[in-house]
Amino acid sequence: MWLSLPGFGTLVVFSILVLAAYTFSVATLAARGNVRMLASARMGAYATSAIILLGVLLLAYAFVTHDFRISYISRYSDRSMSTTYLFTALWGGQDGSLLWWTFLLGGYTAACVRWMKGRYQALQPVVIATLMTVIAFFAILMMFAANPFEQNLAGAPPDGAGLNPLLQNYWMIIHPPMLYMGFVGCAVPFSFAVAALVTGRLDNEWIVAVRKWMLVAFLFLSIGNVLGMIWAYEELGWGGFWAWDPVENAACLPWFTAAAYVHSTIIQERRNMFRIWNVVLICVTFLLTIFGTFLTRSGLIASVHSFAKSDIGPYFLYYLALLASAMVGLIVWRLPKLRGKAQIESIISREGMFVINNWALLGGMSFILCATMSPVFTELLMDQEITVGPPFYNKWMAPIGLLIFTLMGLAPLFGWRKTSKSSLQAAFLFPGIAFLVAALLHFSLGSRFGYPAIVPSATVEPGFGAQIYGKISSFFPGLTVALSAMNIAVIIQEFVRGTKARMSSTSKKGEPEGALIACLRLVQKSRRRYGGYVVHLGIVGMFLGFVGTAWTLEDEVSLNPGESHVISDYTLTYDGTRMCPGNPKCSIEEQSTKGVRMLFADLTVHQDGNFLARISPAKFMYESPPQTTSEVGLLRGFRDDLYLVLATADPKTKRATFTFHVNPFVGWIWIGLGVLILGCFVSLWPEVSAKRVTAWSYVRSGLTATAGILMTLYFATSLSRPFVKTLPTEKPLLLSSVDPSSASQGVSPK
Amino acid sequence: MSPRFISQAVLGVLALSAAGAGTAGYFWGLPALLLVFAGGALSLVIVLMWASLQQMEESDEMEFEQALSYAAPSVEEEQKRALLRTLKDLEYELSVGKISREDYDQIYAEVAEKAKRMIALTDEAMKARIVAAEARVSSRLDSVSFPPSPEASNNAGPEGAEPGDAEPDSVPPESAKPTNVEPVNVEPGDLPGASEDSKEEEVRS
Repeated sequence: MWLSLPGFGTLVVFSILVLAAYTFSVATLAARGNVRMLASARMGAYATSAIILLGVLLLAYAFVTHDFRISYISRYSDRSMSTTYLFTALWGGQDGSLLWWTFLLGGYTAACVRWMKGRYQALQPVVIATLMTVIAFFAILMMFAANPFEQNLAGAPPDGAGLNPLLQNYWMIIHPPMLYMGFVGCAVPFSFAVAALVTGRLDNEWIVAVRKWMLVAFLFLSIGNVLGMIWAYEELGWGGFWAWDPVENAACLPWFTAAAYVHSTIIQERRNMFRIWNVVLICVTFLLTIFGTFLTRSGLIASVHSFAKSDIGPYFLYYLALLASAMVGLIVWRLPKLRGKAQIESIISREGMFVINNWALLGGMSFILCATMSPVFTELLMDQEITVGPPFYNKWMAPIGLLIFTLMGLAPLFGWRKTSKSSLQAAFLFPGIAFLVAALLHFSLGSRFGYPAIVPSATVEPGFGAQIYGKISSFFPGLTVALSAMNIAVIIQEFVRGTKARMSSTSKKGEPEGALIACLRLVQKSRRRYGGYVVHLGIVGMFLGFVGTAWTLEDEVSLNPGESHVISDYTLTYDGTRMCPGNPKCSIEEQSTKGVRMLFADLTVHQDGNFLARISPAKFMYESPPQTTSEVGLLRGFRDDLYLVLATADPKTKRATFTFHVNPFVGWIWIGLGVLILGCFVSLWPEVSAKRVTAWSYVRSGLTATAGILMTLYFATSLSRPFVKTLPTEKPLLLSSVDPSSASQGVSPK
Repeated sequence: MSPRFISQAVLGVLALSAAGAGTAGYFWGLPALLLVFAGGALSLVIVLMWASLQQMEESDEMEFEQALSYAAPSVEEEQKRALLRTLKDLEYELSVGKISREDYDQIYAEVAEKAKRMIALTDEAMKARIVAAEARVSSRLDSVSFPPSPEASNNAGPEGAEPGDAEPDSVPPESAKPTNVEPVNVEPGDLPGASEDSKEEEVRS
């Protein structure tokens, strides 16, 4: 049995558990202070990571060699799939994704063990032991419920079922690994929290250790969630990027608590307060990652993302219960040590703002969690399933989001402990003016440009309260823009004040610095503070993208070839359809595509009479598995995205029905992500002395910065591939040449 | 099995796997590349498990970094650093106008007083630790006898000369030093809390 690949793979899965158990035992012995055991446990942890890597390599080998003896390979791949998507299939199904989860955890474990070399001697054994228990849990899952190397009982089929076409998308190659990196990354802070509780070393040592690991997890959670938005936006074809699907919600829950922790840890470091709160936040963040994994895989709540219903749900439930009870027990045990003596002296202080911000973030998380679980709760309590939809989430998350957004801007204006009235007045002056000016400009000029500050919301709910809330919420777009201006003003003010203070202090020392040098050195000296401000700037970009949905234009029209339609300032002329492969107008790439028939509808886009691009939304008909998908035509821009969906097309008359969307400011979400990544890198960048900076360091930092900037620009401005082709040789088409009778105007605020 | 040998063995396995995988991938394609990498991973598991088992039987000598980690800051030390950081923050906040001069003076005096108390506590604890460390070092030095080098024998001077007769600033020759100790450059910035050192001096004074 063990001589075959499926058999050997199964042996490797079993070995993961054996090695994790061995390392756990040795680490437990090392916790008594035995240095040799600790060295042995470290080697054991590396070995466990290496054997997980072996498992992944074997599965990848099975995919590229089309070893359909393995059930997972035959269910998620076929012979026509490209090598890239064969690798994507590694995490495309449940069994493989669990192995992938374990693999990333192995990577984090190896990195953490390497990083801990020579430090945190007292915490190390428990950290390693805790990480091993998590690995062991996933090994048990794979062994008893979802073995990726399980053999097909009926023998190897001639070909596999293939990967879901919706998953055969560029963003799906990187979105799940990024999200998993975020999820799995929370295991390291959790392990440190357990270690601090078990060893009783609850001072600031572990908080400092955990800080960067949580920031790494936060960074990947942000990237993963936003990449998921991009995938949904490009692939699902409904015009939006976030549908409040249970699995999407589960992915964003730990983001809220991680963000809360990143802020509250500063209070513990500065004021030695909130020890219990921080431990709880770390534990809740990790529990939410496990809960998210459970929700995706248990089939408990219907979701477009869910893996097939399986019997692994109970495993997760037991594990969650075990973790929660263990953590509650540990926290109660250590409560006397965890209680801090310091108190918040005034709510008008930085820590006061952080506390309110923490509660707002936790409130957002709790709201989403309860709303997501509402079908389960209502079934238990009322014997009927009640599911809430996107309007419900949008209605209630908008004020919570705005509260968080407001506090994000206000907190930096306050000092630690207490802030005097005069200091507050000075701090609020510039941001306050920015807020008022932005609000006035928006209210007076917004409608002229198609972005009114007040957008009446369609309240259908009865009752006085609902009507009042509807009136208030119509001001949210204007409020968001004004708050964005305030946030930007706060960030600028912080940089300017810091730079001025540095220039003044250096000139007093007789070593005056110019503004640019002072600013750069300021950031270099306080990476976390100013990296945090850059992250805030990224969040502002994202909020601008979110608020853009208030001004979305949407229109559904049927056109004959040659007819035009006008939406916003775009004029779209429908040129006709073509079926690829087979049509001479198809590109070489389209002609050579196998396993799918593609029906393109070509449209020429003009703006203000100038030719802009040719967009080709399409319907793809996959052979294996037999499935039809809508491929959107997308023209990205800084101001708005033109987003086209082909609904139907008559092959005889060539009359086609389209849904046209103009989505303002969506690109700013992707730009915001780029800025957020940059801010996180600034905060995470290790402090090295100038003497240690080698040429390689400069190359590395240069490449990182270049890659970040290029990615940001790509997100924001790239044309959706391969369905948009610019035709530079075509002569500009004058608007006058468009038959007015065939052009229909469609502008309707959503 | 020394840590250096283990890291060399691991690096060797990684280098061989990469070279083998590159060659196999070039000649026989991606499946061969993956298979050779898988072989490398398996070899790595074997090497690391062997090292893990060996570590249990080795002598209890510590690596320098391990020994250094035992000097991890105490709770008092952590609290002292937190207070010194607070003082630095206060200065920053005064410089950027987030706090008034009156509030600054009041809070600074209060925090500086706490910091002074904590510095006194840590100094007291440090004294005891320094004494203990010095005792351990001297007992360790007494138990280690350096073999005389040929150079030292040649310069031993006239017969009957006692070890104590040597020049007071003489050091054991290179060949006599333990060979498995890697030179480690520790700079002030490498140590935790180094950034608060200047503030500590200020509070002390």
